[in-house]
Amino acid sequence: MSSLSTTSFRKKARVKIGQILGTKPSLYNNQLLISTGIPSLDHVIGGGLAVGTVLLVEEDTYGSYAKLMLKYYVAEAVMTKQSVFLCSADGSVRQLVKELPAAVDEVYSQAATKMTSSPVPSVGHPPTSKQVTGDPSSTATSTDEKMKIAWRYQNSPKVQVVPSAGTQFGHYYDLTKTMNADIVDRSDITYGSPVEVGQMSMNPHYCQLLQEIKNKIEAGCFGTGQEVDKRSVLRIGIHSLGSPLWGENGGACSKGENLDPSLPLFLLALRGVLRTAFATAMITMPTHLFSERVFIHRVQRLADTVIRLDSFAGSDKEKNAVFKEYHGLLHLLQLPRLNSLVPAQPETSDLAFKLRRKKFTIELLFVCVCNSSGSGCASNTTADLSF
Amino acid sequence: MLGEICQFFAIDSSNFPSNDHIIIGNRSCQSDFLVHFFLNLCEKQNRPVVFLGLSQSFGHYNSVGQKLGNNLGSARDERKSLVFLESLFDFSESIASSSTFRSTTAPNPFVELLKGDSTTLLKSINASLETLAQIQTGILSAPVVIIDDLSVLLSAGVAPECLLLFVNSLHELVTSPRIKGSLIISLHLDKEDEKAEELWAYLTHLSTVKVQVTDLASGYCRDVHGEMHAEWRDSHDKPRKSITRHTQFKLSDKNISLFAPGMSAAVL
Repeated sequence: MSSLSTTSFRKKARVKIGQILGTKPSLYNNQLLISTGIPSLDHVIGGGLAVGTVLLVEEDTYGSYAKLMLKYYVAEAVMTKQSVFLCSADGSVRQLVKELPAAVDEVYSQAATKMTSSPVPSVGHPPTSKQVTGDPSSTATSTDEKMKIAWRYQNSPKVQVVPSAGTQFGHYYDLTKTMNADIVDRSDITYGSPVEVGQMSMNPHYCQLLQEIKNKIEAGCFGTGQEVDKRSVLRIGIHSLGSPLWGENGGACSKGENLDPSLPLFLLALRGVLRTAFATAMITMPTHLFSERVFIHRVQRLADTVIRLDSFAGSDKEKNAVFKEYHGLLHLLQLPRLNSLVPAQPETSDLAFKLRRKKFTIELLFVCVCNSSGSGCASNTTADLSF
Repeated sequence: MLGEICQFFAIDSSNFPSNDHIIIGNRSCQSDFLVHFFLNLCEKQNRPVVFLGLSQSFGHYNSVGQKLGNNLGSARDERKSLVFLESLFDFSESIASSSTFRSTTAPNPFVELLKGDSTTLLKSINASLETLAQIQTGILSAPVVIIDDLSVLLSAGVAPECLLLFVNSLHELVTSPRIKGSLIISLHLDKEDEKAEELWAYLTHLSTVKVQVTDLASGYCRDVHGEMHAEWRDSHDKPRKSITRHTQFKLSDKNISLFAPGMSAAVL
């Protein structure tokens, strides 16, 4: 007891967390969350990706779905004006940024601006802010012509009004359209470049990458110790970390039979860096290329959230009528326990993903046993139920 | 929470066992609660603690501690009964600095450890123990050294032999008649990880209490999160029958409930 005059009771001050664009506090443990860009995935991993954590996506065999998830992750950053740091060994990230899916409300407003004769001048006024906020004043321009019937709705805004930009969390994207290049250009995207450097104890690619991430965090004032007037969140996306292009030898050391500790070391260091920064990372990793399962387990433990994509493409399950609704299984391997004793407890761990024409969703795996004479699978009505 | 686990471990909550060496083997993802429990217990009894946080930052332990009702921040900064070694950041810093060839003047304990020399880390722990002893003069309470997740070092590429030497020297140091402290080490186990299993086998010889936390064999369940086995070993200075206990547990945000296997509230 320090002094009796002051009471230890204090009204809980409301933390001004909502003012960071594209974030929300967790319902479970008051953590700052950002969206992965896929609302159904956010739901499954406990509301979103906690700031300061690493999401490890174990790639499917061909890596296409993992890449799609990375696109969503970057697209969400563009929509919420967060900074992005992207890196890949094969240099495919620039192409990835060109193929970002367009947000659904962006598609709408593009149509709306085409309708109006005078498009809104976009110099110094990024269109994203307009679309995110759904500002009634900007949409009112397209409703100039008088309504013949139902005039009571004339003044109501066309777009569903969202209270403010800060509360907008997670967008819906349309995979058939790519994001407007102007918007993408205006956002802060940095590309990492793994280059050859001299011999070191740790894999030089990882050292270089770590240093670039640290520099980015310092330069962009994303550290928790750094004071800035407008706080933003950095998203780090690393594509196919640990593939042979990074000089990784399937987890094994080039010399002996021991495991190469570079990748776990990198993840440990990344965790240390992220814990003191307003940043999150999404790493996709081709773990099926690693020879040692022990190595995979060690890598998993050093990431916070771990999910594995198990695509049906090329496997027996592809033709199995039981799974015809889905494109693959999603395994939740680990959920983060940052600042709490228990991770978010999902209802079930039977999850599957599905790629529709316009969007990628994660759904509960629902196996329809009674095989209604399907449209696609013609041959055998007695589907083999191989679980 | 405290009461139930104290009962399970047959610890009098007012008298923390001294000269104990407790090892916690995690065979599941969600077994950090024991570390938090011991941290909490030490705080309640005013035991000085040296904490080597390898897997998480101080902020994490502090915010979990607050939910469980103890303030680690004040213990560290005001009462000075807790020395928290921010090993995660030190480690991260050392890895980053080694990549830029920045030669640090003081030898970093983790760089030394990766090279196979654990003396620097031991020295820093010893130094923290001494600072605690200076502050705590007059109070006869033995310090507790907690290492949260030794397997982080193993994953980071520290040779298992080096870790064995480190643990052995630490054990000698902490349980010496001068200090008479306790040592609590947690590590992750994995059936396929031979190196971790070897380390565990060695630690079981050294320890007095062996705790294993495992997932349910039947798979994921919302209402029962796992099982816990504890085994007390017979030791020379404290003869006790080798006892084993077994329980199941359910974690919630601020509490942990223990129950006999098959006696979960969801089942009954």
